[in-house]
Amino acid sequence: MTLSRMELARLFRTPRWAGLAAAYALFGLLGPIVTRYQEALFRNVGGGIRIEAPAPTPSAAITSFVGNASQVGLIVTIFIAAGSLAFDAHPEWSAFLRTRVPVERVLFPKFGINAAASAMCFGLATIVAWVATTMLIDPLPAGAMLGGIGCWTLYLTFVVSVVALAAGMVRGVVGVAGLTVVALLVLPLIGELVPGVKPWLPSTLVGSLVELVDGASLESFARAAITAGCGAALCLAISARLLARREV
Amino acid sequence: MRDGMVVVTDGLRKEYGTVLALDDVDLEVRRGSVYGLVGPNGAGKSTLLGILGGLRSPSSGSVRLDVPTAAIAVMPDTPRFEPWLSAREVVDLARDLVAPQLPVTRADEALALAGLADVATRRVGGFSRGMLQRLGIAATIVAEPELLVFDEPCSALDPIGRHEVLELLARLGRDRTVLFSSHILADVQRICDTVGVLGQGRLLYQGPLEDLLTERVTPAYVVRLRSPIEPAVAELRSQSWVGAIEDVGHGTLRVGVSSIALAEAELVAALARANARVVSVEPAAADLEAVFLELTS
Repeated sequence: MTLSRMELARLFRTPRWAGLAAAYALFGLLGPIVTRYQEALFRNVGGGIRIEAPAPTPSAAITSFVGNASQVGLIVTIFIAAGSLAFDAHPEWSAFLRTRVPVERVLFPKFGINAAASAMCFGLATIVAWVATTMLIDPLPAGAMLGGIGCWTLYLTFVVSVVALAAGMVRGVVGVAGLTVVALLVLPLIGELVPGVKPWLPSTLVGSLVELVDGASLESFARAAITAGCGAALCLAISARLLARREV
Repeated sequence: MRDGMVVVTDGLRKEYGTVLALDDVDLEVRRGSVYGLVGPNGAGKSTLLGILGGLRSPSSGSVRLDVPTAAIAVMPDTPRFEPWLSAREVVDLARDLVAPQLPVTRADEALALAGLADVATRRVGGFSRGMLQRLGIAATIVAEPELLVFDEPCSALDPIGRHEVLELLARLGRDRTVLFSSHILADVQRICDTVGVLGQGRLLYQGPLEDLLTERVTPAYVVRLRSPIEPAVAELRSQSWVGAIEDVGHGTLRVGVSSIALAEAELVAALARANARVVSVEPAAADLEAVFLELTS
C-alpha cells in the first residue's frame, strides 16, 4: 500500500468518487437537456404567464453546464480535497504519517490524486455535455471543447493547491474548505477592482470553455493559465513549509 | 553523544503559552534498554515523546538521537487510522513509507505479533479501541525500527491483551531500544530495566529500576498481629527508629523505619516488650507505586 493508492482508495471506497463524478456529470447532462427543452418547460408554467425562451444554442447549453459546475462542482471538489489534505484534523492519523515520512511526501500524492480526480470528473462531464449538446442541439467545435477542458484542468489544479495552502493555515476540514471558498471568491473581485489584472487571474479560466465555444482564442487564456500553474506550485510550496512547521 | 546512549536530551523545555509542560529535562535512554516513563496525567509524558518523535519542537534545549529518524517509530496513545483501510493495508502502508525494501509479507508477520492475524483483511473502521492499539503496535514494529517509542501502549487493553503486549515489548527490548510511557506502574515494574519519573514537567528520577526501588523508597516492614494491637503500636511509636505506622486493617501494620539494620535488630524485641501476639514480620516489598507517590507528592 502506497500513499497514492491510499488516496485512490479514499475516493473509490467511500462515496467521494461518486459524489464528485455525479456533481459534474449531472450538470453535464442537465445543461444541454434544459437548454434544449426550456421553451417546452416554460410553456407549461401555469397562471397565464407567458415566458419566451431564446432559441437553444450549443453555447447556451455549455454556459448552463459551466455555470452549475463552477458552483456546485467546485464546492464538492473543495470539500473532498479538504477531507484528504486536512490530515492534521486528526492528530493521531497525522502522527502516523508525520513520524514516518517528511510532510511533503504526504502532501504531494494527496494533491496529485485530488487534482487529477477533479479534472477527470470535469473532463468526463464536459464530454457528456458535448455529446448531449451535439445530439439535442448542434455540434460543438472540438478544438474549443478540448481547449476548455485543458483550461479547466489547470483551474482545478489551482483550486486543489489553494485547498492545500488552506490546510497549512488551519486544521479542520470545514475551516480548510471555508478558507478556500473565500479565497476563490476574492479572486474575481480583485479582477473587477484592479484594472488590467483580470486576464492574469486563474478565475478567468472558469469562463474559458464558454468563451472558446463562442470563438475566443486559446491564447487569450495563456496569462491566466501561467498564473494558475505558477500559483499552484507556490501554494504547494508554502503549504509544505507551513505543515512542516506545525506541531501535532 | 555519551557512550551507549541512543537518546539524550539536554535542558529540554517546552512551554505552551504560560504553561510549562517540560522543565529542564535531561533524558538519557541507553541502547537496548526498556525505558519506562511514568508520571501522573499532565506530567509532560506525551509532550516529551512527541518531541522525540519530531511531532513537537522544544522551546529550548536539545535532543540528540543516535539513530537515523527513519529508524524511530512512534505510536501515539490513541492510534487512529483511515476507517476504510484494512488492517493489513494500514501496516503495509507503514512498511512502505519507512522500509519499502522489506517484503510485503512483513505486514502479516507484524499483525501476527500484535495478535491481529485473524482480522488482517477487516476494515479498521469497526475495530475496538483495544484492537486499534494492537494495530498501532503492528504498524510501529513492521519496519523493524531501532528505537520504539510508545505512548501508553496498554491503556485500552484488557488484562489478557495487556499481558500479551507487555510480553511483546519485553521481547522487542531484547534486540532494540523500547521507550514507553505509562501510568500503569505495574506494567513499568514488570518489563522495564530503566525508569524515568516525570512530575509537573520535571524529571524527578532517572536510572535503573532496581536502584530506585532499593534506594529511594523509605524502608518498611509489614507486621501482622493478633488483637489487641494497640500496645504494640504504642511501643513502636516510642522507638526513635520507627517512622510512620499505617494500620492497613485486619491486624496488619505497615511500619516505616529509618534503617533496615536497626529494624532487624530492634523490631522483634520491641514487639516482644509489648507482649504482642505476632503472626508474621516481613520487609515490605518495595513497589514502584510507593516510590512514585513519594517522588511526586
